[in-house]
Amino acid sequence: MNDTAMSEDLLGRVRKRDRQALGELYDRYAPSLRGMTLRILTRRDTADRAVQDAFLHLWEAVAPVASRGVPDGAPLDGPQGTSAAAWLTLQARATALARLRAARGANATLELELNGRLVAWLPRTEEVELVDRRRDLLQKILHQLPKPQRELLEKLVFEGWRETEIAEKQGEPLAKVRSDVRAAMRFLRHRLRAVMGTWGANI
Amino acid sequence: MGCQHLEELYELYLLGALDPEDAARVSEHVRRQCPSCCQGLREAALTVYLLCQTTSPARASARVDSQQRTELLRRLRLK
Repeated sequence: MNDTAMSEDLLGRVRKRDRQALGELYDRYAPSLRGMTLRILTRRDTADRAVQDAFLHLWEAVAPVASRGVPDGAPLDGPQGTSAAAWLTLQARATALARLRAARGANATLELELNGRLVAWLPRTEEVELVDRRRDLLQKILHQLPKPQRELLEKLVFEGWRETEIAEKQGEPLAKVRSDVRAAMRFLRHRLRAVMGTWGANI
Repeated sequence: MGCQHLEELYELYLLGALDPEDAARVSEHVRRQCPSCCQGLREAALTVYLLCQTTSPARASARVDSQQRTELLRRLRLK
């Protein structure tokens, strides 16, 4: 069984309430998720807790509608083929960030509502695994960004600062911060399109 | 209303990095499953996934891994 089939099989078993499958997904994804949450929270115990919480949210999110107890009955489990890795990454980051923001007295709420019905847009397993397979090239692309832009991304991704907060902290005009952040994202978006679509791009 | 004006916001929305007004603009489209925004978000989610993967995996010892997994399954039983 290849990686894509393995991931989809495990997620399918979790949908059928197979606890062992959730444990196998944990074995598969916990180290990379822990690496991310540890960078955000810096403490091992809280980082591990955020990872566990993400798996518990996944268990709930893919529960059959009848056992979910959600009043509006909205489909939470998304289309077949949704990437568990992407879901867990976004969820674990959101959980860790909420804790980090709460600890510094900021609004802990993230707008992202992964526990709700908003999963139709998640990438598919094969797309995420293509990113994983081409990660070395993508890392090289990240390093093509100017250092100040890479530092901005670090603040956004792992330190949980909003654009407005970065501008305030750095004493820079919000328009400049926005312009730099969005230029960096535009660059990554276009390069990712090239890498995902074809090897022909001059990277 | 078209969605081209939101294209630059998708990654930042997923990162929770927008101010509340911009976030609300994206949320409104997401809530009604706007096809254009869903496509933009799918692409943005890949970029965000990539950014999150720039950390090295943090492997624990086999004993700690086993403890963590046991704790996860214990918490699951309590739900």
